[in-house]
Amino acid sequence: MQAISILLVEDNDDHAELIVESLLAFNPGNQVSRLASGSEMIALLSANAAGGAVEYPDLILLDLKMPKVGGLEVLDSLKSNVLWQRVPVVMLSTSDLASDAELCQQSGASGFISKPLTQAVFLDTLKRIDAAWGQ
Amino acid sequence: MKSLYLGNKAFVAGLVLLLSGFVLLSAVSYRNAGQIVYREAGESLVSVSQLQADLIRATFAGAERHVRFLHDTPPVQGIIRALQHAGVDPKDATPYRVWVQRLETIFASYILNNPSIVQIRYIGLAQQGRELVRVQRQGEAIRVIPSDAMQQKGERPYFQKALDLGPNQVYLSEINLNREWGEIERPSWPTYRVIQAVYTAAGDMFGMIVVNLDARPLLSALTESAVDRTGVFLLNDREQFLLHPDASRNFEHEFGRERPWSQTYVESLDPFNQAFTVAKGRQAGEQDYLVHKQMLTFPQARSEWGLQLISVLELDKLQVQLRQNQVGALMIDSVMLVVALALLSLYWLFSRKGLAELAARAQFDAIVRGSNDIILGVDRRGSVLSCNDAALQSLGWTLDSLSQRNLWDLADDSADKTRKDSGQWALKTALDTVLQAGTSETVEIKMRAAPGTRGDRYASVALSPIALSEQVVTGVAVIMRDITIAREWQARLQLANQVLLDKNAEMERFIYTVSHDLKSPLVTIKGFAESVLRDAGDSLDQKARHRLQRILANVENMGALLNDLLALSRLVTLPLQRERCDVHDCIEQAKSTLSEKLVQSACELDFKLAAPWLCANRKMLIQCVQNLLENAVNYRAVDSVPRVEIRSWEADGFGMLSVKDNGPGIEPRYQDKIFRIFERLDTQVEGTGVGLAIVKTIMEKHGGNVTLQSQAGQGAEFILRFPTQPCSAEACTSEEPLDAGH
Repeated sequence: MQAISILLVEDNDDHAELIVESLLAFNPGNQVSRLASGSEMIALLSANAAGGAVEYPDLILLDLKMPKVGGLEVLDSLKSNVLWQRVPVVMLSTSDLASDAELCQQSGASGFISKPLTQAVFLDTLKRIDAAWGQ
Repeated sequence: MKSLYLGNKAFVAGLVLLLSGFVLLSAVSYRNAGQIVYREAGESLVSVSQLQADLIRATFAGAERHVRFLHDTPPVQGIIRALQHAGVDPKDATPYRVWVQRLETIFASYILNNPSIVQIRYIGLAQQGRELVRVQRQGEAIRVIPSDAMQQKGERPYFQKALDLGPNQVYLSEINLNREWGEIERPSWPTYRVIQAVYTAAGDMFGMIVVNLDARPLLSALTESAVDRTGVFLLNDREQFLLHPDASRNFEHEFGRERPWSQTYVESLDPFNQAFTVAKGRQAGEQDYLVHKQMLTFPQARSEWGLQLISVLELDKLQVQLRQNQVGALMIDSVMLVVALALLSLYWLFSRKGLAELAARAQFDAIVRGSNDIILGVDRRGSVLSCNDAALQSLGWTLDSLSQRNLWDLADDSADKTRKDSGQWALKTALDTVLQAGTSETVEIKMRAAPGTRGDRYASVALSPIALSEQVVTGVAVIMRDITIAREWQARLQLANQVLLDKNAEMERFIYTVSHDLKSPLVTIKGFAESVLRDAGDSLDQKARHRLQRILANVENMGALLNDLLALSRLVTLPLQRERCDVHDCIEQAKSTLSEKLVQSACELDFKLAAPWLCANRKMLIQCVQNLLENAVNYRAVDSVPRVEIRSWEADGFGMLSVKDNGPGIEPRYQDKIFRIFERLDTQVEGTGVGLAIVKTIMEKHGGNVTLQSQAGQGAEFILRFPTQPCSAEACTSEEPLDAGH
């Protein structure tokens, strides 16, 4: 895969470490930055809206279940933000509940990946996002 | 009220009474008709008879006048004087011959002018009653008999009678047949004589004037007076017939046929009045009569004889009239009977309806009285008109105070009654609606606290119009039911429901938590274990590598357990939606999920689907088949190819599905245990111990069950039992008819 910039929003440090590791393993050129909570992402959006300079990532990996500000809430904020709404968001969850995946898709997520993140699934998801953009 | 109605027994009694009344009335009518007919006939006979008697008397009086007139004519005394003085009347020198001629002229003209007079004679006592003058009718002519043809009448009975007469006295003879020279003249005709004695101026009897009269005009007049089946008999005082309706019997005694009245007829009193006389012929063929008899005597007859006048009416005619009257009376009676019967029957029918209504009303009364509900009748303004016992007891009312109560008194009055949420307002509104729309209304109110009750009480109040017709609503029937307890239970039920909903939500949160939070550490463990194995794999010894791999295997196992647990939990909370499921299709679905496993084990599958459809949740049905099929493969006998037979059929309103394997079988003592969650009989075989628990839960959720038939070493057959009922209702969607083949 080609190198891309990825913003990971994940509260669990262990998970974050493993995901970052995986992403770099997929392509060492990937630029991965991490936010440790939904609140941080909201804060970033606010700062951006206030005129702060921001580098928009190619992809956002967003954990579904986070304390306080959850993944769906963050997703809503992203998708209602004109600056960020075009950034594809892939939701991450430890569950494989079909209901969760459905809910995320309805809320505007571009993909849903059940942890752990494997290369095959990740690449497949990226492919589908590309295909969607191509259309 | 009730006594006015006619029951069946009373109706029969009425019928009997009516019929006996009819019989009695008919008898009385019959008798009355007889009495009336006989009385009227008898009374009319009396008056007719009176007229007839008058006719006879008048005739005889006329005869007397004739003789008196003739007696007083001058020649009568002139002849005496001429005879006493040698043939010449000294008074005016009229000779005897002239007086005789004059008298002859008078007699002749008298006969001429009086048709009933047959003969007039002047008879002297001298020379044995020698006739002096005699003029008589002979056919149409009037003949003066010459003196040489005169007869001596001194021996005749009437002559002898006349000898006893004083001056101015008149004698009337009986009526008998005229005789000439002692023999009855043929053809016979009846005659009678009226005689006046003639005395000289010196007072000695000289002779007599004898007028012979024809009795036929009298008898004819009598006969003619008897019309319309009446008749008249005239009898002499020896009861011999002078006049008989059968003319041949007139004067029969003069011909020697002696059969007087009493030998011809038997007299009796009439059967109805016992007042009139009935005469019945002694011989067959003779008429029977109603008769009126009167004895007639005449002063001119000098009490020597009398006549019996018998006026009669033929009984036959009377009977005809009697029958007509009786039939008429009977018809009137019959009409009355029919009318009375009709009235009685109508009343009976009306009574039956009335009694039925009474019975219905009594039933309603009993229902109303016996009801525990409060039942009131109110007028259009809401004033209470009536109520049942329950109302009196529950509301603490008395019958006396009823008229001061009204509908609003049922509701709690602590709230402002003008507020729209007050019970009083609700009742008033409902009453208005019922009166206007004519429909029933039900409202719930808080009840007014009755004396001695504690706590708030609530009631459902139903108002229905009391309608005489569709237009006329006279009042409203109010049924109030205490629903306090029902409301309490309703509240409890709602609470319990809410608790259940809360539990369900909690369960869902739990599932969510489990699926996210319990799996989260597994992901971490798995991730780090894999990275250790990947990064440091080569530097680890065999033992450490093995241990890492065991960690990973257990993480997988733990993940599978969690997934199954989640699946089971989700089953419990998900609502069940059934449809008609194609059994074959579901089995194929399960097969495709397990295809790898089935191919690996070289499993032989056999279907016998007698019931091609099952009423179930499709996903759950597939899940059951999948779990059972998977078990059959997993727990196969070590040394043989797994062979699985799936059958479906219908039995007693249940759809049946069985999965039978040729595995080692399950000992009966474990058969209950295997359906429990996480129970496994063989931990060497892959699995989580949740599969059968899921099957059991699914079956229970369907209202059916799962049973096991197995013996150790003889395979196992799991039998699923699905109720078919839900799919006969609309809740179940069917896409194809039952007999559609595959």
